[in-house]
Amino acid sequence: MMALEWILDGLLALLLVGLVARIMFTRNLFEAVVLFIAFGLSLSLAWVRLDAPDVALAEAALGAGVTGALFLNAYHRLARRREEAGMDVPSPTTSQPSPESRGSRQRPHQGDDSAPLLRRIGRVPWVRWGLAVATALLATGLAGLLLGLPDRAPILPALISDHLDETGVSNPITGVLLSFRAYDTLMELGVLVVAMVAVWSLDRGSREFARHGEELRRQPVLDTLAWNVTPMAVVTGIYLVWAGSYTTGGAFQAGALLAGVGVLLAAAGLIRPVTSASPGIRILGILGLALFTAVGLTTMPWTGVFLAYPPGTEYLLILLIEVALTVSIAVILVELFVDVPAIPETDPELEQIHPTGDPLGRGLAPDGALIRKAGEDE
Amino acid sequence: MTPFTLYALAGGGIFLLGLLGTLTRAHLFWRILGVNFMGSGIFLILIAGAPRLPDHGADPVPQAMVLTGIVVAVSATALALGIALRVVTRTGAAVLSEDLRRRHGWGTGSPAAETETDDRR
Repeated sequence: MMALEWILDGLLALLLVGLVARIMFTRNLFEAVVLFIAFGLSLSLAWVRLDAPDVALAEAALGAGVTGALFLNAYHRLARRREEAGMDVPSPTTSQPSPESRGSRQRPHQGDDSAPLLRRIGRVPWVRWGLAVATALLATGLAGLLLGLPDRAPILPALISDHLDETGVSNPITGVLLSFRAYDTLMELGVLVVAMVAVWSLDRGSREFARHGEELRRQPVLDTLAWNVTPMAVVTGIYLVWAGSYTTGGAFQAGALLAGVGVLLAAAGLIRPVTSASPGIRILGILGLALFTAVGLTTMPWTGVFLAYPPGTEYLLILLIEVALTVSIAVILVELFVDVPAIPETDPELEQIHPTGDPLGRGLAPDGALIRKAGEDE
Repeated sequence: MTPFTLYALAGGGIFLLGLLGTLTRAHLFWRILGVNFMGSGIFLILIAGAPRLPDHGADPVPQAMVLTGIVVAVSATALALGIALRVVTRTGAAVLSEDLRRRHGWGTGSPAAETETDDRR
């Protein structure tokens, strides 16, 4: 039995490392993005194995789901930019033109610009060897440290289970997030709000969905998926907020799940996304941060400390904050997805620039080899 | 040593592969992927190495830290991708201008700069 555990754990650990190696050193951006989603799902399996179901939920919804959607969205914009510039786009289904035909479509001044940008590093052997040796040394040292970790007596878990009653909730992770270390969670909400403002500020006004009078593009497959998944996911999200006080669940997991629903609805063209410019979105986005701070401040006359809940009200206050956090996290994550800048379809200035750094990454191989064909592997 | 140690070791490997990729690849998307992997590796080490009580699962404090970390990583990734797309809009390439300049001698005032910096064989 023990041997089986070792084998399964070993396989999963190997799969994780193998996926990362493949993603970091492949030359096909689409492959990297798809494998990144596979990595997120495998990692959430590892979290389940490590007795961390809360982290597994967040990883599956955020690490694999929302981050994967962000990367796919950005990839799509890069690929379309290349199509409009008259360059060939690598795709898993289309055959690639020969180097000659590709060369004829390049602008005259381009010359041998398909050579890798990292060619110079590739030509200085000691840089690559130095990096390889340094990484190997680091790996050995890290492995030694990890294997030599002393068996500490678990102090924090014991402290937490002793004092969990005082928080009013029975899920230790919710207790840590909203009571013992509430400052951290408050600051994190601040980070999310800043990220939303920053992403929106990158490209105000030029997003494609801002064009008025344009029909939403309905996608049949996504459409059906969204109709079937949305009700279940919304119910699950509400359950996760409610259950967060006593078992696996909580604001982060529920917010991540609801954000996934929002991203799906936006991608399926069922809802017209609203930018962060809309006042409603702004209010919902800062709701969690504002309510959390307000609760912390208004209870100060009774407790004398910021973010300490008066005895007897802990459960209600934590539930209130959790609901507000869920709404804000979901809204902000969806905005991070829909507010990503669009690349303009035509830009005369761009035509004057060397299109050297192939936006899809060809010619940028780490080993400095010249890559002729798109999507071609080693 | 328990099977969980395997995950801590995998976390170390993932961190280093992410670091290596971030250092050696010029394309901004791979750099963002690499930073994401560095985070994931650290998360694995934090939870796989956390002390455990029988019947209590992993230490709740690192679990809460990792939950927070995942959410922050997503928002940072969204911002980084947004900036990378802006770079593409401005320059037509998904690489930093330093890397372009190294290749072409841009911004150095003369085309000769390229031959000076490029160690041709």
